[in-house]
Amino acid sequence: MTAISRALDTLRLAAANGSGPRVGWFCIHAPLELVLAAGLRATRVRGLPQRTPRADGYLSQDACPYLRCSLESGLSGRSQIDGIIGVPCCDGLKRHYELWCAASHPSFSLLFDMPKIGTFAAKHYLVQKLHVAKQAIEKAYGVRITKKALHKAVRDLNRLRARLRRLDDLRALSPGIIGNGDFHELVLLSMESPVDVSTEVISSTQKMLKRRQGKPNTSRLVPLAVGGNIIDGRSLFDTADSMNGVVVADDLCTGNRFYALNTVCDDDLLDALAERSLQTPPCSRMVRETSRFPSFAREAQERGARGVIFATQPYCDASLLEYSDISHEAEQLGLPTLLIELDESPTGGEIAREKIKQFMELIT
Amino acid sequence: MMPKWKSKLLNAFNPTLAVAIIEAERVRTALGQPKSRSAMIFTNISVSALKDAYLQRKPVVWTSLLVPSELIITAGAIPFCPEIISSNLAWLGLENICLLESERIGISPAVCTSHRTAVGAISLDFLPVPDALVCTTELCDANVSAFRHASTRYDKPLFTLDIPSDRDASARGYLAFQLGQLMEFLANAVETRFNRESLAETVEQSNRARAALVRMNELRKVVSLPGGEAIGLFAMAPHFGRPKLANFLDVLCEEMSNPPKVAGSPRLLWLNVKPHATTAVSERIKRQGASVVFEEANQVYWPELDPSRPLTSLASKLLSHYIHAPIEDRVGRLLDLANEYQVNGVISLAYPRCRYGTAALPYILNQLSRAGIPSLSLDDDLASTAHHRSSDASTLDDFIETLRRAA
Repeated sequence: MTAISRALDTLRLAAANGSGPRVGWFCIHAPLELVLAAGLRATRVRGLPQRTPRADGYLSQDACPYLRCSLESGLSGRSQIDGIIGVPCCDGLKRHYELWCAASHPSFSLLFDMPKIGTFAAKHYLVQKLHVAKQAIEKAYGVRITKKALHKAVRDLNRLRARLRRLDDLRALSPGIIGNGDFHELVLLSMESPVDVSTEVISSTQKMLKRRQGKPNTSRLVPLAVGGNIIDGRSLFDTADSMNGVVVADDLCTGNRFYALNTVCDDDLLDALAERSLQTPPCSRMVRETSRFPSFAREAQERGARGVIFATQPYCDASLLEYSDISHEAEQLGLPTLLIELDESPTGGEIAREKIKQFMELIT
Repeated sequence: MMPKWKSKLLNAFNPTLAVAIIEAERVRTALGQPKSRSAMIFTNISVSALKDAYLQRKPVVWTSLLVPSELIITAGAIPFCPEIISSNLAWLGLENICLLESERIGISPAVCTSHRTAVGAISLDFLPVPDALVCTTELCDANVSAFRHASTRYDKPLFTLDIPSDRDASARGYLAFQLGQLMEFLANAVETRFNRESLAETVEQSNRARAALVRMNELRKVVSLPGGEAIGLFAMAPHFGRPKLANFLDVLCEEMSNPPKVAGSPRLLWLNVKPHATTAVSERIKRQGASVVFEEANQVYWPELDPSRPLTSLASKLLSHYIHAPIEDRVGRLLDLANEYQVNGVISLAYPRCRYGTAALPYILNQLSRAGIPSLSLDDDLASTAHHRSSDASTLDDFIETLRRAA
């Protein structure tokens, strides 16, 4: 068993086990620090491919697979969640939250109203909502979130994010040092597992890989960047692995957006949390002053990426509409793009494989 | 002799204007009284606004459906709503050209048809060039990306109103503040100055239209609405604040009562909006002697606006939208409507690709069924005939027959 496999197993075990109430989250803008500061466990709810007979009674067939599959996990009790925090970042997520509440009556539920613009007024509103969230968690669990506990939670999450960034830097510095699929799964599991376990595992993995780091033999490898929204499985990354594609940068909700920034620990922590959230690399549903793509493209190019795979959940109108503009911007930067609408069915997987193969041939 | 504007337009043929004219004809026909005063007024409203936009008689501001037209009108600009134009294009069968174009430029066919049509129409230069664009983050996800695309394409400024999900005082304050910023944006973008009096006057006119709609909806409890296919808040959205809209609705209410025409049976409530591309389902319902007595989309969901506090009032209006409400509230309101309009059943067209309207449809229909209200959901497309299936006709007939027997 390799060190990476052991790390993955440790995180899988930690994700599945553990005591105490778990608060499930679906979008990276959920106020995780408040959950941790209340002594609770914050765990991202995954939407692994599965049949969705229960969820189909609530959500329509053209809600994205992530929403349907994660709702199915919730309805079947497999997610082991007793509280949830929804973020109405898109139409589907909002309905998903409401339906989860209607169907499974969690002991705690909160719709955290994250603004979609990044103005001063938005920050003011977000701080108000963080206060509301703090009070709601305190009331629901009968705890008091002290300043000290919040400071600790911020520090703990900052540490995890910093470790993930180091691992991310390492994959860019030494392409191929870790498989794309393994890297992605480590990130996903670190969002599911207790923060201390995740930090420890990511840290030791990064150190172990750094020790192995030699002069990279990149002659056969094709550096890639992956953009999009939620990729909950690893098959797309494994496919890239099997074709000597090596992901050196990503712009995903299940990737860099989670760990790109730390919260600045100052006196007004809620203000700092709001600031961090608004500065986080935005998804296509967020509105920012300038186009979000060039900064990612710049980073991808700096890391040597020869092309960008834009992978999105099917039916994500915001992403799919944005893609034509992104591909145009990328073309101007000399960066070829490929759109993949994620489909975990066997046929979908085959189509994606074929598309990636052709794309790799194009950019090699 | 041909009017100057007409020859100018014919010289530079523009399909969207043709759509507008045909749309007006459609309303007129649907009203059932081609020479009625209300039909003439609505024709005038819809065509003159588009004519002004194409001829750039005033600054043109592209808006999404929820953008308060009251502010655009007070700014002396013409609100132009691409989603409505998509519907018009679909009505004419021109949506396919636009859909093909949108596919050509890389838009996935999985995206909402209405927005794909609009993006295709932009690419084909079918639409009047905007001076500025304003969109909202709600209703729906596609807005932000589509408007961003248009803003880049025309190199014109875009203002995005972030509509919060919560509906408390802080959400209202946040939105009202943004509406103030929108006024500043409009003042710069279309080089105008807002004055308090003219905004209050526009708000008064919006209230007049609202009051007439309330009257119309009350009348509909006993009287059938002529032009049910075409008359709806969807098409009226960019005209709130124009005196002509209130005039039209006043006249329509008069005409509905004189002489009143009682609706057929069974009585149906229509969920969300009717499709824009085809009236096949509505016509089938009529042929079966049944009636759509009300549409969820036509409820007056917002409180009267306060002319002395226009921004806070408009913020409340935006936050009150039925489709923006929590799902339990939406279900509750549907049950109220079913009771108020004494409906025998509910009909819904499940528009694929419309996440906002139909994401929770299975749950909503389940809840209605639990309350003893039968429902039928058919697959169709909001703005394209591509999904319309003639086989649905017999399902619909069976549903109506079942309701008739149960009545």
